[in-house]
Amino acid sequence: MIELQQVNKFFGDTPAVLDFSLVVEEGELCCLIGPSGCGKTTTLKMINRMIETTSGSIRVGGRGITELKPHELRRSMGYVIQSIGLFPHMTVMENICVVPRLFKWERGRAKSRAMELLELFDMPPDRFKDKYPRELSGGQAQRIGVARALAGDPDILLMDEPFGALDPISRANLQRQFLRIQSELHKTVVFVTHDVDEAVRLASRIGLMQDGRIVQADSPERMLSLPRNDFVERFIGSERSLKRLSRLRVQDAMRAASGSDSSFRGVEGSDVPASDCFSASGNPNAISSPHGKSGEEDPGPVLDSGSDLRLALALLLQHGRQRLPVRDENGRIQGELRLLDLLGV
Amino acid sequence: MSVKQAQSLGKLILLPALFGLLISSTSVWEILLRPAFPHLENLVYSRAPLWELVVQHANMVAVSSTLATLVGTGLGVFVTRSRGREFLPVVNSLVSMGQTFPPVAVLAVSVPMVGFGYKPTIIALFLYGLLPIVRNTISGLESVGPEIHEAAQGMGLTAVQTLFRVEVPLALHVIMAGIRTSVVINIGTATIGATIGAGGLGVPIIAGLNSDNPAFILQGAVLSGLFAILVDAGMNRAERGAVPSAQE
Repeated sequence: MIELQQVNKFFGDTPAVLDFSLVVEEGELCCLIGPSGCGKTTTLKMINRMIETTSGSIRVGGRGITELKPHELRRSMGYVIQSIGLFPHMTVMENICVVPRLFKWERGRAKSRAMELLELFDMPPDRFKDKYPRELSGGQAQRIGVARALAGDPDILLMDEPFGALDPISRANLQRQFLRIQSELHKTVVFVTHDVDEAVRLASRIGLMQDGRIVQADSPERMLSLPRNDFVERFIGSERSLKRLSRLRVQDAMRAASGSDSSFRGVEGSDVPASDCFSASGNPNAISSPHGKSGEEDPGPVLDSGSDLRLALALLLQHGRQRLPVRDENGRIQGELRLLDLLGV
Repeated sequence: MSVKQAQSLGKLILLPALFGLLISSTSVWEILLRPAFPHLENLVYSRAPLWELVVQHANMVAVSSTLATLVGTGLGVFVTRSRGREFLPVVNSLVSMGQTFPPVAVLAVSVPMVGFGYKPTIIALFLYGLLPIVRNTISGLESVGPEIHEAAQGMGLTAVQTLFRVEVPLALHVIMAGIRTSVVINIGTATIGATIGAGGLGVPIIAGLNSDNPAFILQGAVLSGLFAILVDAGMNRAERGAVPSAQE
């Protein structure tokens, strides 16, 4: 748990963060968003004392952060930055093992931890562990950046626009992967971003900042449906109803199949090859049309129950359908999603 | 055998062999120089064996370069820390001045203070060799990007750990290049030691100038030149052996 109480930060006479209070609960993923210069990065860096507060108190796990030496405090938190900062003279393995080595773990333990993390990020250790950072793509490098931050198994993860420099596809992949990993590890995460979509997709809570103050701190759903003032509404943008859909899964809005229902004749679940279904965990490309474009009886695509409703809406519109069938992770048809039902969510 | 292999073989075996031959045998010089100077009476410098002059020379260079390396890297590290950063401009200009000050002038100034011979030569060589080491240490350490520093700090490395585990390994290549430059310069400059009785390969050069004997001058010049090339190649090799993963 991270508690910030009436934190202020001045650079000279210039205020950067003003009267900032926020509690990030255990296991919560809290996104700090806001326009450039609103103080979100400053706030993040005050938590691990990369920047010292001017006044106010910050407590982590019940202890004031000034009770520890700065470097000891930082070792207990993972830290990920946009520019990644992998050490170019170390291999992937050595980079991940930096913090375990600081903790003086024995070599075998550090190594197996690194292997485990590489697996977690879908990077086969045999292929990646001996590579140097310059041999990695941006997305791969940032995966190692996050893995390195997790290596010492910290309870807290501080992330400063970690996916900001990546292309949209790598970014979406990393976000999904990170969500999956977070749902396994339940770290307490403070995540700075200026990208509303990213915040909506990842956060369990969003803190929106303006001019050093927190304007609204709420769940993404509440923030999208009940923006506190004009600034929040403008910042979130006019598409907020669409953004809300991206928080919801197909399975939340679909109608389950019943034996007598005749509406899914177009597709027989048993026909769907397993290979089409493996990525129900959310690859947007996973929504495929199993029968291809076979003439006029094209049954349209099949939705994955785990993908988000924004994507489902796009597919409904794209194919001009009122309804589309939905399958589960095993490729079995589970039910259908109706366009009209989306108006109700 | 590739050109590269041939070159490294030349540096590894042929040059040292040639150098060894030239400092141990006077007859080689006779063979080489006699056709050029058929009427010269004393063709080979003989008041001291050449190898002894090489040892004196090497001693002066080793001592002054070791001192310059210790002080130079230390200064470079100090002025790139947050505590020492305010001294960066001062150190930069002081060291540049050390370079513009001719070594002969240093000798002239230091002889009255410490006497003739070995000591003033070491002082001059030390001052003269400082600049490339300090400059390269600073630029090597400064080339470590801010994101690397931020990551190191954020992960909880202390300042000392950051220096030795991250900054120095990344800057080593550049720092070593500075040390090599300094040593090579010093090998050439050390010949002035002979003017104040410090010995070394400058001795035949000075003797040659005094007695109008170009063969003596050639001996001193060729040997100190060869010596510099050998040491440079050797240090280069040692460096590559020590940091196999140094980035290209």
